[in-house]
Amino acid sequence: MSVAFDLTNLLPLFVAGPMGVAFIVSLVARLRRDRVLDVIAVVSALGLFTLAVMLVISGGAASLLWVGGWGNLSARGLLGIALHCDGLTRLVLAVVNLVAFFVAIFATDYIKRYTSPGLFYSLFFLMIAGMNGVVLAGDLFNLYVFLELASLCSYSLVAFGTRARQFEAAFKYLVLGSLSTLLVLTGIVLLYSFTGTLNLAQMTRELSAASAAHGGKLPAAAFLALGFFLAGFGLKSAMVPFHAWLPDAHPAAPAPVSAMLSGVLIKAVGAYAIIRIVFNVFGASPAVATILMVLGSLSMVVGVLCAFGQKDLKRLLAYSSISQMGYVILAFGIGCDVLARKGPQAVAELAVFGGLFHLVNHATFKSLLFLTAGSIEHATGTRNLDELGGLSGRMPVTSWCCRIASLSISGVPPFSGFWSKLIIIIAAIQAGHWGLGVLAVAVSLLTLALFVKVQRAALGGATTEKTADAHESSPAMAMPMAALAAVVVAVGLLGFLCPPFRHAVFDPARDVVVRGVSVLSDVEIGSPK
Amino acid sequence: MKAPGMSLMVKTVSRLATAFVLVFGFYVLVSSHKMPGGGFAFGVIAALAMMLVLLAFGRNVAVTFIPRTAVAVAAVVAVIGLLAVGFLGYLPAMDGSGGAFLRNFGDYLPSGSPDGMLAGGTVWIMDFCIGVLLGAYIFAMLTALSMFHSRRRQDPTEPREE
Amino acid sequence: MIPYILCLALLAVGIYAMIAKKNVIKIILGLMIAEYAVNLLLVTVGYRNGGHVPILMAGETSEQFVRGSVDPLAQAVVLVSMITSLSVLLVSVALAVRIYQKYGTFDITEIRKLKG
Repeated sequence: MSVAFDLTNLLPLFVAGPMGVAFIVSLVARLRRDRVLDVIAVVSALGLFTLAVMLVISGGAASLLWVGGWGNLSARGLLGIALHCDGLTRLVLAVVNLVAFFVAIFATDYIKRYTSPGLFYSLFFLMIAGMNGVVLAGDLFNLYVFLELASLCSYSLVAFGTRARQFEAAFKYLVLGSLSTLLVLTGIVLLYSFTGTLNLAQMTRELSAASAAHGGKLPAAAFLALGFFLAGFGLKSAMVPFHAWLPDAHPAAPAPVSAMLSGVLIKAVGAYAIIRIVFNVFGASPAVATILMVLGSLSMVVGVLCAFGQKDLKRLLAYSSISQMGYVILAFGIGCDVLARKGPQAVAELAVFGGLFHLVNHATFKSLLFLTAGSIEHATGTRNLDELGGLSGRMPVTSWCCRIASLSISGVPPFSGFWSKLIIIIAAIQAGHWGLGVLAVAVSLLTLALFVKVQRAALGGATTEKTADAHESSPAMAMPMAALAAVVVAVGLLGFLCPPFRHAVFDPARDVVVRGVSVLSDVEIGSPK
Repeated sequence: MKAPGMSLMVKTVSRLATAFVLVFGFYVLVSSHKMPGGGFAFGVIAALAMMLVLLAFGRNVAVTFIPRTAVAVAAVVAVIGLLAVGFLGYLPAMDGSGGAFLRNFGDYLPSGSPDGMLAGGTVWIMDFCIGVLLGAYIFAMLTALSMFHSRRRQDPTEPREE
Repeated sequence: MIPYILCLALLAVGIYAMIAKKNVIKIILGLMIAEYAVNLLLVTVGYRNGGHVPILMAGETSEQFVRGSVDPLAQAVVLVSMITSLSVLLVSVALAVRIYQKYGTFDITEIRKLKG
């Protein structure tokens, strides 16, 4: 057994690594050497990213890791910390750590405007630990604890600027965020009382057995729990009836944090958890498919319409996040619908692939957009679109990054957003949901109009008094933006046009979603040694 | 000027009680991995002992007894200890099988008697770290919140920041 | 059945306070009530009539323990969820204090700089 190169043995590092860095950073911060902090942060973020990439490359079947071999000590109950690793986990881990790496580089310079970089990095790395933990968790209670960890850090980070608006936004976010974790915990309690276990794999087996006993239908108690989960995670991923906190919280945070919140947090703790629980634990059912499709299309439409009225650049981006997450949830809803109706497997695969692809694309281009917004705010001191203008000549790197990301998000070929939206629309039409396909096209056109407006207001036109002496941000901020822009373009092109890349990165994740409950009920629970 | 904190009686009693509370907390800690109690309980009890000092003598005295830097360092050291236990688990076991994160490397430690403190391999180390971490955390929380107590709110007539 | 319904009723009370109350402190209290309700539900779920505390008694085999005790896992879970709710309480109280310093009020109808 080649222990040293068995990557699953290193899985706990995704949680323990950033957690250790967070506390070490808070100690190092007392030395008041900011450069040291920056180096520690960037190097550890790079390490996590490298580990995630290695994990994606290594591939492999779904597996369950009992941390430290503590699990399964008694024959009756599955106790111990279980980490679950499969294609979906690997993909989301890679996205989280990719964005975290670039954001960490960007933050080294940006965070100088605040007083305590040590605190920032502590909270930032604890948030990464929480997100990685949510993605890796093999049992529901660990999922809850990491969810709470990531959320707590994000509440504090939203209030990091310590100004009145930020406190207000953070409090609103805290109340609604705590409500969502509360609903999730209630769902976990109900499921625990129904199945007698917290382990996802065993829980799936119990649920499958129960639904087989009920003639293929989930029993009412399980449906109640599912309802709590959908409400809780829907609140976390800001689906439209539950979206009130997002447009306040995301703009209030410092730009690197906004990029993390909008780019990956709502995906790792919201969309990922919904996918995992709906597809892999409960299995696709028509009612859930309808709920997901309704939530998705509502978010798509309401998000983009609300975005039009905004003057604040970051607030506009936050509303467009709601809209784009709507696409992701809609795609999974279509996939769920096809799977529940036992429709053609290929259509379900296409829809799920579209959803995952859009999730990855949105993570990259939305965090890029928030970083450019931060760069603009850093240079000009304002985010108000009326006060901006003529930046394309003054800030070339930022402008080009903003253009690339805007073209991607509004679905202009050949940029990444075009391909993923195209796939979602084709899947909607093939699944027989013509209306949803038309709606997706319409929202895409509205998004295009929205971002044309942004481009004209911020980059084009004459310079204003605020932008007259703006100049390009420092290399530490410009470099990660340029690199992320390259990633946006590359992922878009490779994901659609390069089958080997798609097979390596997206197909394992897609198969996990499409295979449904069998992923978790087939995983070998195993013995500790 | 009146001395900060509560009356002499409260001060005397809390001075006497604090030591006993800490000793009880320590008893809970060392017997934790086999009996009811544990690091969590120790942390809360220790923090309550410190809270007695905080309430009876006022914040300034409490902070000179237990400086904030010491609390922060204790918390960080406890977390690093926990992680060290985790990473030492990567050591291969004595019987040659592979190591893993957080593996109980108790085979390297003196085994002790089943009723004694050392039984259970690494569990008591982790429990100790959790206890220190939780005590430091709750005390830091109390002092941080009591810091707001003395500060008046901003004058409403002065222009509020945008 | 009645204990479960009472727990869920308590949860509803807490969520009502979070949503309907105008005072920041009352919202935080509502949040805490709701969290206690969930913890109570968890303990109730793990309870068994006549079960003893989940500690291995002297001379008890693990078979006897499994048959005789209440669910230890639920209690361990409650312990951890209490710590997380403590952390949430800390952050929310700290935010409430800072909001009071900035706005001079606890009334959320007057704390409205964010619109849209």
